[in-house]
Amino acid sequence: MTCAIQKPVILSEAKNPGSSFFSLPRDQKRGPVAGHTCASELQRFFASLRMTASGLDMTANGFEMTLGNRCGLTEEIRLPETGSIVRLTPEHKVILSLVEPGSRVLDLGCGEGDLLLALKVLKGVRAEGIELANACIQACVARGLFSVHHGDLDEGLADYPDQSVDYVISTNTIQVLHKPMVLIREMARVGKRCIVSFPNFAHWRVRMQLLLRGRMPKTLKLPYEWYETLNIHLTTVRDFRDFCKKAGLKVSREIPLRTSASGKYTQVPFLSNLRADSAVFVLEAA
Amino acid sequence: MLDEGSVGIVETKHLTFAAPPHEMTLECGRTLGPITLAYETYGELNQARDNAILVVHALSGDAHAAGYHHARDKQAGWWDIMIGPGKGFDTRKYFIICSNIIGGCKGSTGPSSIDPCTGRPYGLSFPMVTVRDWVDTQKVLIDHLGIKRLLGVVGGSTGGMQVLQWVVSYPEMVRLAIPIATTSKLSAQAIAFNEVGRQAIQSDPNWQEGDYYGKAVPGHGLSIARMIGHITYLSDRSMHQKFGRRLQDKSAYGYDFRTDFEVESYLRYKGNHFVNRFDANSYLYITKAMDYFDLTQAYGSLEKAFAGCKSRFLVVSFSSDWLFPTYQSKEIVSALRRVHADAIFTEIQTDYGHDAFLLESQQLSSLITNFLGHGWQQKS
Repeated sequence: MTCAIQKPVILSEAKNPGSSFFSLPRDQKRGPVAGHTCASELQRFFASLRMTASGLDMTANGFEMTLGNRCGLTEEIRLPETGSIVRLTPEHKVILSLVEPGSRVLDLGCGEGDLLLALKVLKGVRAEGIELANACIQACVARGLFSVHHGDLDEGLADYPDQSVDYVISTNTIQVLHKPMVLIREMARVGKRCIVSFPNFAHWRVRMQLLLRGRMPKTLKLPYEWYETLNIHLTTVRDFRDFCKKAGLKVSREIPLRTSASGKYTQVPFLSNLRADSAVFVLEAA
Repeated sequence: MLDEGSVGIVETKHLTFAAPPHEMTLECGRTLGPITLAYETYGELNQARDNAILVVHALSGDAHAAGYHHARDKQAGWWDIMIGPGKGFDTRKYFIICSNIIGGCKGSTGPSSIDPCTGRPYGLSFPMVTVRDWVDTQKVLIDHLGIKRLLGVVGGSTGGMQVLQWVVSYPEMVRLAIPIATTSKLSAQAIAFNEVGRQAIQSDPNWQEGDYYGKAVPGHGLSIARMIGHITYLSDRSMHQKFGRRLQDKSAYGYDFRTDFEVESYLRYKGNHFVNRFDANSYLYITKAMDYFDLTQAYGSLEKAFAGCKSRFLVVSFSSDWLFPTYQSKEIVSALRRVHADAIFTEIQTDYGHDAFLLESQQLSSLITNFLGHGWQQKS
């Protein structure tokens, strides 16, 4: 299990919606796809236990401990026209498929601007980002992004007027914040729609590691030691639904995902809180 | 001495305009003319005339931003680390212009210049100039050079104020704005330090109500003003690192009022050195212009000030700058966000305090290189 960078995929057909790389994984109502049976999930689970036990150091495999890349499993993709390469996570790809072309987007915790750049080039959005890590802002500037601010999301979004952007996006960020409730309300105030992705702490792998090994879980989506992790407010799909309700938000779409070690991702059609290792939620004011 | 990254030997040029009866009306209501601007340029203006960057200097700066004035010149221009072939402001790509502000004493018209009406130096009869006046005179220079639109305007500290004034006064003319370690208005604390500096000068018996030209200069007052200034440009940490409590040329306290500590010696040296190169009246005029600068007051609000601006911004602050603290840059960025202007904002982590913008910084130069590079390519 490594996070080796794959060959860049040329997105020449990205404008063709039929063959779009970023179409949502199809709902698998007909049951699990071959190779992803429950048996194979169990096999992989035991394999992951062995690897963890043998001292697998995920940080060395490309999981950098920065705010911008809390979750490994990125794929390098070459964007058309500029030829710039972006590293997209499965959640990024799902979000790319959700955002309407030409809209106005604010990405909270935008990291090195991978999603922003992809949105800008592929969807023609007006992209703005907020990021805490200086090195990430440097990287954004180096990639030709012109609207990235150094800022602490725990301080809220006071500079943004109500409903001033079409989408406020937060990928794998909400769980590192001190006040997720404050931010989600701010997101809903500023954005007409919010898209939030987070790692699911109720995934069976997580549960099993705690149950069988009695240890803090380490998975593809949660690769850090407990003493190094920035994730201080981990949540589950089920808890997040309650959280949205409490924040007065309507969940207009829920896209639970599971990702294989090779980076392949599929949508989880049922038992999502058990089987999805991450989820993307689209939220609107109730 | 001349390395590959140097612009080499450069010369200061002069532009004189606003000769009577066409004097320039200043913000204070008084007129000034003729006005001379000292300026230098580096690199070549391209055919399209769209690669020009105006560099604006801070309090004690001048038009000599890069290179050397002669072969044996040991002192490079004040921002030589950033301007030159392959540097942040790459002179192989860009045409760089830097001019001395009026009210200064480095070749542009100021209180030490001769008043054509009297044949004597202006002294305090020189009209009060403001940041807006500086920008208006720079605009004349840019027009004179045949440049319709600047690729960029960049400056730190008081220079940053001029950058902000540029995008407000001439929104169509600035594609990229880089205000560094600056503010849209000085804090009470910063005004206070300026005032102490001015009082030091004005209480020097040699000051003579500003009429000291040709006589002994108020060097003592000016040097104290500079010493105070220097403290505010550094940080507690950088002073600790640079001097600590080390003693100067002695191993024990002298138990007298001569120099004991290295930091005292350093400040005295800086103060005395400044007297040789700067005019006390110019110090008064420039610090006053800084104090008066307030975009909120002038335009109703920062948002209103920036409402028509068409520039892309790179706003940079330094973590240990307590003279122009980060919150002041954030105020600028907040207003820019509210008017939906493109803006990059970053706070660079450094111990060097306000002066960090003048020092070698890989982070700052790569930010600027990339911002300019992409900004030039992506037409806006």
